[in-house]
Amino acid sequence: MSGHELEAHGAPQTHGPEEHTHPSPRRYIEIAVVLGIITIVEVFVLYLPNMGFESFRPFLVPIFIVLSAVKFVTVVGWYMHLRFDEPFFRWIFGFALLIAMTIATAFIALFHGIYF
Amino acid sequence: MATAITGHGRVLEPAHGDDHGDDHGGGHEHEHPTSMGVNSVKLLMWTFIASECMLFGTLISIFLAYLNKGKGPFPHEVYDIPYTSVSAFVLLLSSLTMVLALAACQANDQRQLRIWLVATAFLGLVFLGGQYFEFTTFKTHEDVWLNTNLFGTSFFTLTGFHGAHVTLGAVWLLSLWMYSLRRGIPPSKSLFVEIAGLYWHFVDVVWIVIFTVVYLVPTALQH
Repeated sequence: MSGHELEAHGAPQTHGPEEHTHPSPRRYIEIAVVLGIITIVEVFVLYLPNMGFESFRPFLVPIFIVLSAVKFVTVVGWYMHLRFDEPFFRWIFGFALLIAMTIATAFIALFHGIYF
Repeated sequence: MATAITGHGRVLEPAHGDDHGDDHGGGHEHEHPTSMGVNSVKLLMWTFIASECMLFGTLISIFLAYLNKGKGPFPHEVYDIPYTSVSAFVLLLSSLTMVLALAACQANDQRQLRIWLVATAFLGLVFLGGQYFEFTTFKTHEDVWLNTNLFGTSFFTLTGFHGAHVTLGAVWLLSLWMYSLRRGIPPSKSLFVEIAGLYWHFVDVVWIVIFTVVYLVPTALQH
């Protein structure tokens, strides 16, 4: 269980047998602002090479993957409450994610001639 | 106070709170001890999400496998990234309104709950409207459709499936909103909202991946 102090409704929001604590609405809004900023940064970075920063081009894809991963983990962890919920749910989701990523890697390698 | 001990030795106690008829306090009405010590409804939802994860993983894989193969037009020739980024932002915003709906439900603020539920469904419909506009633009101005080329087939299958999920989510949220208008959703039934929220956030998470892998990366590779 997390130790977040919640103030928005006067008391921590708890639910379930193990009394998981959810973040406050204020924290949810802060997270949304961060997610919005990351989205703006993604679009800005895409056009950097066109604005004279040609040296950025090789880094575009890695930057997009990192920023996307940050957004993904933030939504799953905070909005879907996975970081506050049962660890078993993390295993279920993580396992499915691993399979999906393995399939994607295998397809890309197979169809684009990348061999490991 | 009645308590129960789970298979893992955890003691389950009903949460404290005001009683409202069938409302048994602040905990979930449907939560009950299971042999695994986890909520069975949530377990079902996470298992469903896991299966959806693999479905979308496969669809995204197919898009990537066919990326820049066969005849054109190719992705970077038809995309309008600023437009799509606004759609992505709208869906992100709908995730915020969804968690605010859950927070309002848990705080037993019925008015806020209804506002945020309908706001979430509205933002979902705005996203769908944007997707419809994008699809029709691709078809009429760019001459790209399901049977045009490999890009058209994989793109419309992937984003079409996602759009269908958003549609289902919007219908689910509007159903919850109508239910809340008629009977209200007390904190003891907040699991209804939480499960719908899990689905909605998953749809948002899938779009985060699609926006990057299907829109940004192909554009970056071809500029």
